[in-house]
Amino acid sequence: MSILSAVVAPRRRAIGPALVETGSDRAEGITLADLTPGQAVRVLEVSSQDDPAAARRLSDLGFVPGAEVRMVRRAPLADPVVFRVAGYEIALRRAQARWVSVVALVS
Amino acid sequence: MTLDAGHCAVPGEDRVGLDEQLPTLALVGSPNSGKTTLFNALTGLRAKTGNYPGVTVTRYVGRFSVDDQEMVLEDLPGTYSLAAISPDEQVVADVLDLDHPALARPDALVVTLDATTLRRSLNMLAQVLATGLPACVVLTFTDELTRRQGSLDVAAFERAVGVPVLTVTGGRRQELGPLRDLLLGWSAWPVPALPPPTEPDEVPGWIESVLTTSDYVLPKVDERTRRIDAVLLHPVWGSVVFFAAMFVFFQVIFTLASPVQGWLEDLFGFLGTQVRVHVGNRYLASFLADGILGGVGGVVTFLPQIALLFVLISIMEASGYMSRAAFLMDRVMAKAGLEGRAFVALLSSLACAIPGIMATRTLPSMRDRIATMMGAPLMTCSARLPVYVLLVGLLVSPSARIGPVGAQGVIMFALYVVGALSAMASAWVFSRLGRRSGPLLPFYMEMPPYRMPSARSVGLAVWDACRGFLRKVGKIILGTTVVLWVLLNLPTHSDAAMSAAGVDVHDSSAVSSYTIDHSVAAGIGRAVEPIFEPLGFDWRINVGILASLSARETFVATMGQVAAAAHPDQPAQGLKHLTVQSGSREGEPLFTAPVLAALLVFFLYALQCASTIGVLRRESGSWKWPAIAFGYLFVVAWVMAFLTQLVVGMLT
Amino acid sequence: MSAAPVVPVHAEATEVADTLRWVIPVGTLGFVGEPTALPAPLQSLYDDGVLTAPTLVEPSAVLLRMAAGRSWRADGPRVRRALQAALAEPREWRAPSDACTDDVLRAAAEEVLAGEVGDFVRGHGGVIEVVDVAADEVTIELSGACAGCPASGITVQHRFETALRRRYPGLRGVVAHERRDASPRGPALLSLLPTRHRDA
Repeated sequence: MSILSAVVAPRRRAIGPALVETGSDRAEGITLADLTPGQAVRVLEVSSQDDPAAARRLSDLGFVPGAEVRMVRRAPLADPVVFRVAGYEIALRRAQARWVSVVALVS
Repeated sequence: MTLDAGHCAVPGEDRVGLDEQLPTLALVGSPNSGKTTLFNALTGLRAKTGNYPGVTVTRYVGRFSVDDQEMVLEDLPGTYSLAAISPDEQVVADVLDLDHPALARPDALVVTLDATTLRRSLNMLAQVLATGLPACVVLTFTDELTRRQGSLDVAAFERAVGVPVLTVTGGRRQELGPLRDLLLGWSAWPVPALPPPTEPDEVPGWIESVLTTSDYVLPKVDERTRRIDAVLLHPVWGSVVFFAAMFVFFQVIFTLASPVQGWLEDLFGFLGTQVRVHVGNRYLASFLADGILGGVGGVVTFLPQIALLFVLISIMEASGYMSRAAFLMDRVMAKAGLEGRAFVALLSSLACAIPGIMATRTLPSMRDRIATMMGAPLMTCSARLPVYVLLVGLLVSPSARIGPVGAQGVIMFALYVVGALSAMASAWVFSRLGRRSGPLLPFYMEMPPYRMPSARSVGLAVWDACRGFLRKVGKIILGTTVVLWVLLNLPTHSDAAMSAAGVDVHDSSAVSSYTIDHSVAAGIGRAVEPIFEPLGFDWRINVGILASLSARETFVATMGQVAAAAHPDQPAQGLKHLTVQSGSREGEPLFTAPVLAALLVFFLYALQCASTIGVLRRESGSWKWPAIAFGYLFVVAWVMAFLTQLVVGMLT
Repeated sequence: MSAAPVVPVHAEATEVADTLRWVIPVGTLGFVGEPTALPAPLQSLYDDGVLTAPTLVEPSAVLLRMAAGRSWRADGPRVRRALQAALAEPREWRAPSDACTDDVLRAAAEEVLAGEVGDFVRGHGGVIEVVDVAADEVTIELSGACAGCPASGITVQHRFETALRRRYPGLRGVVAHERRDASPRGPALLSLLPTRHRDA
């Protein structure tokens, strides 16, 4: 079949620990939206109940389990936020950053 | 295969330059990976633009030759993944799709990977290799990698990915020799025996293994970028620099373009005079001078602004500053349902909506583009100024004051503010309406390191924009001008008939006034009087509005003609004396305060600009959106003018 | 929450179409040669007739051979997943009975010789050989045109050691000897007179 089914299909499957299609209950977990400038963390999982395509995009952008992310800066009005991941810098709105659960890096 | 509804001039070839006989390669890569610079370096001016079938995504196809073998190269839209979330990205997935009915697959792919962001870029390579097409890798920014103390064993990398790998820096022409030779031999490229995995949980493992084998050392944070961003993205200094930059941006478009536009207008005015002098028949002369030359001149005078705008936007994008500007403005734009990059488009619209609407190309989301396009015409463009100046001058005298400031200035400022707020509100409404057509595009924006823009790429982007504008929009503007000329100047009247009606045939303003009073346009103006009566407009104002459909500033000259003013460019005196000809207010001055205020508000909202309609048609891909824009803006203009007339009538 | 992290691997082509060289993280398996037993995930592929002998383990790779009538395109993803599952259980891989860690080091050293460092030496008309491997230490011998050039001796030793350490992190050291033709084996005195040799 076409490339579309090979590449796009994983978006719709439950893929296992890396990407979870339904949001999990993480009461105490921190997300990318909770970081302060300079803080470095490691990604645990990327999940979005409303928008699996958006979660897939985040993983295509480098936010995969195990990836190191550093919060670089916030915009003057607190949104969006610049992160450093996979060797480059990317700005995300806090609404999307909230989908990425992280754990602090012990440096 | 149809492309852009154009017919094939040569069998097997289409307007965009694709040719079944020639080897066709396609450039794939993420945005900011140097892909388009590479495309420009290889194809230069031999690139044509068109559209992909069924969508408004621009298609760039060019030719280049190696050793007498001509080859076709297509620059696919930049994308981060083949799991597409926007129409641009869907195009890439479709082009690479084995089974797509309307698009022919390229023969081979050239994948550009930014050497400084390999960990992310390899994700794209994995997906591309899974398509099974022969592919090669071009590693870009390798000089930057070294400068930032990163490194890569290219030979090991080539073994690890299983396809040919070449490095380039900046796409300089001298380096292209090895690349062109490689492209010539596309049919001999090795293909990996086993494509990399594409499942999102397996790809990171593949990437990690490849990078380790290639001894990839991650480049350090770019010091130059870090230092510049410390200022440009500083909460206080960054905002100051940003507003200064936007002010300069706006001034350049407004002020720098003006003299050039003035020269062009003088040129066409001169040509018009020559025509009038040398062409015997008065009506033919007028048709050629006002209709044709006026129309062509109207198109050409936009070019300086468009060219300037695209120079600035290309530099902003290529250098990396655009994403910083968008970053600072995103929160404000989000209130209107838009994103940071829409700010530049709206700002440009303050000079003229045409370049502003064209600037929406920088927005990745189609819905954002449409919403911004619907709002852009509401920004107070420079063509409204002559109208505002005329009407405000009739409304309040120059010496009137509100507190310590001049009343005229206050009203002008208020018009600007209302325009901007209405633009944001309109964008918000269309953004919400568009939401039903799909989920919200997640906002993300790469912040690339600051890089020197290539003059060649900037030049080509400007050339591309101007050429497209002339071809597509020019036709619409010219057509409208001609149509309006016909409406305003026909039927013709012989000298004898005019003398019999009491017109002095040697007084040109009397002649033109008579012509317009008995023109088709006047007939239309009278016919639509019932619509505009509640606003207090009479058929003469209606004629002015009809004429200003081609361009707002023609309202002034048209009203001058109608009023048989001695000086058509300063019709104020003549207009003051106009009185209502029939109805309940017969005998009273036509331009009372409520009518003037209503007229001001009408011009604030109504889409009185054929050029804008033309650009909307081009940028949105169909007549649907310009029709919607014209329709909703007319309704809003009418309602707001009506309310204004009521309120001002009550206050005076 | 999540299973053990996936072992990073990638496949490289070999001269033989049915065999792929699966690059694995250095030190995953502590032996080289043909394993006498495999973990279940891989063994089942043999049992199903997807893979065929031999399976060869190198210091940083595993060579797998596809059975006749099968293709990597079709069955490759399944093999990859099985290999990754198998590598997650390194103790389930049984080394050949006569294996010892020096074998891994020797194999790694031979790889380095066959690779860029060896090419560099040979490109200058020199000869480089592994003389001894013992207790995480390697002795190499340089001869031919490169012998006697003080600069090349140090460069080659350093490059060899760097390349080898990447394949064998437990390396304790590299000792380099030079042998000039027509002199007895053993440490050669560095010549004080300039010797004719090709440019490095």
